[in-house]
Amino acid sequence: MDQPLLEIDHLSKHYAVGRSWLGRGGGLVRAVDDISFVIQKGEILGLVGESGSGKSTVGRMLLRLGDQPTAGRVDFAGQDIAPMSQRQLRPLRARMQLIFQDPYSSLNPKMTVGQILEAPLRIHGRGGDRAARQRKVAEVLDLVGLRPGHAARYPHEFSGGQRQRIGIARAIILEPDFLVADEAVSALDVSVQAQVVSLLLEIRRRMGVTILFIAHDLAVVGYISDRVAVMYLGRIVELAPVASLYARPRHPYSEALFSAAPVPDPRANRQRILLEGDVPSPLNPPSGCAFRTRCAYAIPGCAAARPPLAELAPGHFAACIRPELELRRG
Amino acid sequence: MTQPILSVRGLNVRFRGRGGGEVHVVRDVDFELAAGQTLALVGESGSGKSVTSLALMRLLPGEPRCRIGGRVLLEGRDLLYLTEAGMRGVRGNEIAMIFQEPMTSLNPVHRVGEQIAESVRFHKGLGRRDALDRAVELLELVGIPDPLRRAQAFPHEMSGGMRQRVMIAIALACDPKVLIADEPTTALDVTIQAQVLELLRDLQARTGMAMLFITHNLGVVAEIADRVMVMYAGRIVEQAAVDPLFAKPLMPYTRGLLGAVPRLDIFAKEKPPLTSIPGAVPDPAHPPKGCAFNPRCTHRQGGLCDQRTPPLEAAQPGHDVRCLRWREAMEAA
Repeated sequence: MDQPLLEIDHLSKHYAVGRSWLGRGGGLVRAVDDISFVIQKGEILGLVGESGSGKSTVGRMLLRLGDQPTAGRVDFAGQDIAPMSQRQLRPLRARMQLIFQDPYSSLNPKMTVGQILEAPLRIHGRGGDRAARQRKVAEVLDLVGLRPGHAARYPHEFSGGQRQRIGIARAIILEPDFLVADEAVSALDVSVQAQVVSLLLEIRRRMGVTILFIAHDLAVVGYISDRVAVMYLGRIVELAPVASLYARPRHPYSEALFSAAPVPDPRANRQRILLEGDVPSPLNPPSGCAFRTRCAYAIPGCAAARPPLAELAPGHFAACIRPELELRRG
Repeated sequence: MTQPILSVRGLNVRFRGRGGGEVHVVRDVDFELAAGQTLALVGESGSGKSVTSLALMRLLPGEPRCRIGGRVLLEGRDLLYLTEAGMRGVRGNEIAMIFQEPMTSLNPVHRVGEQIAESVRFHKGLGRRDALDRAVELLELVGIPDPLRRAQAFPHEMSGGMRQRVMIAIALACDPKVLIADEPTTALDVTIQAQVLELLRDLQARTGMAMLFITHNLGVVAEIADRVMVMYAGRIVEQAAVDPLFAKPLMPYTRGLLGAVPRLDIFAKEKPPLTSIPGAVPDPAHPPKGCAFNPRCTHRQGGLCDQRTPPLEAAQPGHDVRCLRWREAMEAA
């Protein structure tokens, strides 16, 4: 491992909102605000955060879906893809794929599963002739735990979990280097969620694919990831290997997230940290540390400057000016 | 147990399918709910848990599209036999309900204060001024800061957590005896979910209302429930007090569900394998023969589980299970 596939350097995405037709007023939403991190080859990096934290925007920027980043670099296998045009990106598209959240709306109901899976092969001119493509489809269906005979069926004939397998099959059929799974298991029932998580781990093992796993559920993220990044208001506030983060979070926001996660044990003796209020507006984030307005440990110094990510333990980074805090997992 | 407020006996719901056939989505559901008690109804999608709650509130379409059988006794009165006018006096007054998605449940063109006031004006006959005062009181009760100003806000001006608090305020406006909460925190972020659960617990302690809490999230169940019913393919397959259910689940399905939930406390060490239940929830139009769970069950015995529908059997006092082989399954576990 330890060979980066993606290097993200001072990446930002800002949106102008609420400007009048004269171009006056309005503000800037800092959806992603100056973040830097590395994703190693073959790694599964978890990205957690609440709604509005910017985690999906990060995923889309790394794939260059939608708008261009406002600032910063995204080095994918040695090339900066941030300023590239769609034409320049096309040859790279096959190497990076997305798994969607909703297995119902992300599959074309008028196409058979075989047609859906063949489409990427055709578009990228891969997989040889028709017979060869169909062999590839059968192979990938087998890999995701479906039967080759399923290629002739339509999406509505499948359950939610099976559809998500089809979505995964479509994402891996071009044997990409990099996958973004954006809330890929959130819409699934618990019993099926575990199947799909196991499938993603199996695919990583067999294909060595690198995955950015975006989710709001800390437990699922901890299960699948090697390292986890925690986002709050467009910033990464903590980044650490799973064992280190889940043993001892070093940022008060991570502590609060752990503390809020419901534990399936009625006898768990918990001292819950209840955060006050809601996430502040990204139009007008607090000065200094964005979390300080809800943080139980805030001191006047927190308002002064935005704390940088500092390495507090091997590979364990947190953006907090109070590294001495003894935080709990909940 | 104290006298139940709500008592459901032999509840059955059948929808007419497209081809004229019937889909039987709720089957022989029995339960009782006492004041101050929280009963959780857990199940995966398609298990029939939401249809159960809609049936109690008489919010399902009428015949011939939907047939409801059984009894729903609210302090002895059978709600299934009330007239629609009589039922309107119960809904939102004696039994209130909150839903998953607060944005679609609130009217976007009315101020939230008026929406809360509407319910007390209708049920309690309060005048406009008094009703609005009561709305502000209720907003304060559910922990909304600056309630006087917030009563003037429109739903879109509030966050998801705030809107769910408004929904709770509307539900509590008439001091209901029973609150039905259908996935009330599912659309919320975890930190906001924690706030809302805390609020519901606190309000229940103050008002003594009974709560039927419908969710798919076992973590939430562990936090809020006194008793738990596990539903699968329209039937209650296990029910018990919350501690024994989590400590010693008897039905293989319940055990599978609990095993499939990743836990936060394990990752500091080596990750244990995550167990999953093979297959998927059956199509309610074509339930398997015998025990509905048998095609996915590791303890199934051919010729038995796929032939006979198991009864709900009292394995221990207060702990019922619907499984023909729970003893063997327990030993194997």
